[in-house]
Amino acid sequence: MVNVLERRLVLRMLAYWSDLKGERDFPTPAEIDKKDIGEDWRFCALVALDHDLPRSRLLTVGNDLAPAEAPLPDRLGEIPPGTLLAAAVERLDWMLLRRVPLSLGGQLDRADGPFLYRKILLPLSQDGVEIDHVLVVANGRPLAVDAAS
Amino acid sequence: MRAYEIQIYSNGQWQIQAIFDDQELALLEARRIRASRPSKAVRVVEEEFDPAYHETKSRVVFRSTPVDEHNAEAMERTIDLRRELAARQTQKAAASERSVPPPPVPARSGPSLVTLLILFIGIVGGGLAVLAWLASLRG
Repeated sequence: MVNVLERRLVLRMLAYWSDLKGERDFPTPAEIDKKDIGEDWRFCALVALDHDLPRSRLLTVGNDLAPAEAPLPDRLGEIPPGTLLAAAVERLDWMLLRRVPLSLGGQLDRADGPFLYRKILLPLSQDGVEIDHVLVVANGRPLAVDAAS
Repeated sequence: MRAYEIQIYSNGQWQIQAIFDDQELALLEARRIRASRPSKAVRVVEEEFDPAYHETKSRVVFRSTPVDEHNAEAMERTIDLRRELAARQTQKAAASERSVPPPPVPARSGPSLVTLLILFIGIVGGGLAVLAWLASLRG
């Protein structure tokens, strides 16, 4: 089970997204403000979508999402597999199909042991119709921490 | 795989607001939406894909509408009213128990007080008459 902290992050960001959109279907990417998001910005990444998803561009990546031992990738297709960022951007196709926020949890098998994560994909649109950006939010913790707590 | 869709009833149809793979999270979010938008009906639908039959089974795991809340409040009021009525009936029964007349005392066996008085007067009167007769014999 994913810890309550990851759950809170997902619900906080979903509430932020809901407040931004109001009665519209989606907020615009320009409305995303890292000052409003505050501490949680380090778990966020903003992606400009391309019709060919692996070619989608990473506009910003929070410190806690950036791969530790690799240069910051420019496109989704360049993200090192097995990282939290790679897991965070998976299932974008499902989110685009349903056109609503999608929250999923999972487990990464890292060299230092299993790592549990939870993420949420929040759709954004400049024209209110086509989803052209996505705010990706994810965090997690080693399974050992969960077992010990 | 199971997914939980949060849906809001709007413009005559249920519209998906978000999808979770965690029921607890979906319920938390549904309750938050319900609290922030009290006029809207909210439900959580569990969707489970059965790969054996290539079909998706759906069931509602949470629903909250303004009507549901109204009904719950009305039910609460009815229960309170019934409790109050039952308490009043109990009090009334206890009060009526206290006002019931005492059971009649069973009649004693033997002569009554009047009979004894008449007998006493008769004996005294008879005695006096005898004394008067004896006094007349001496004189």
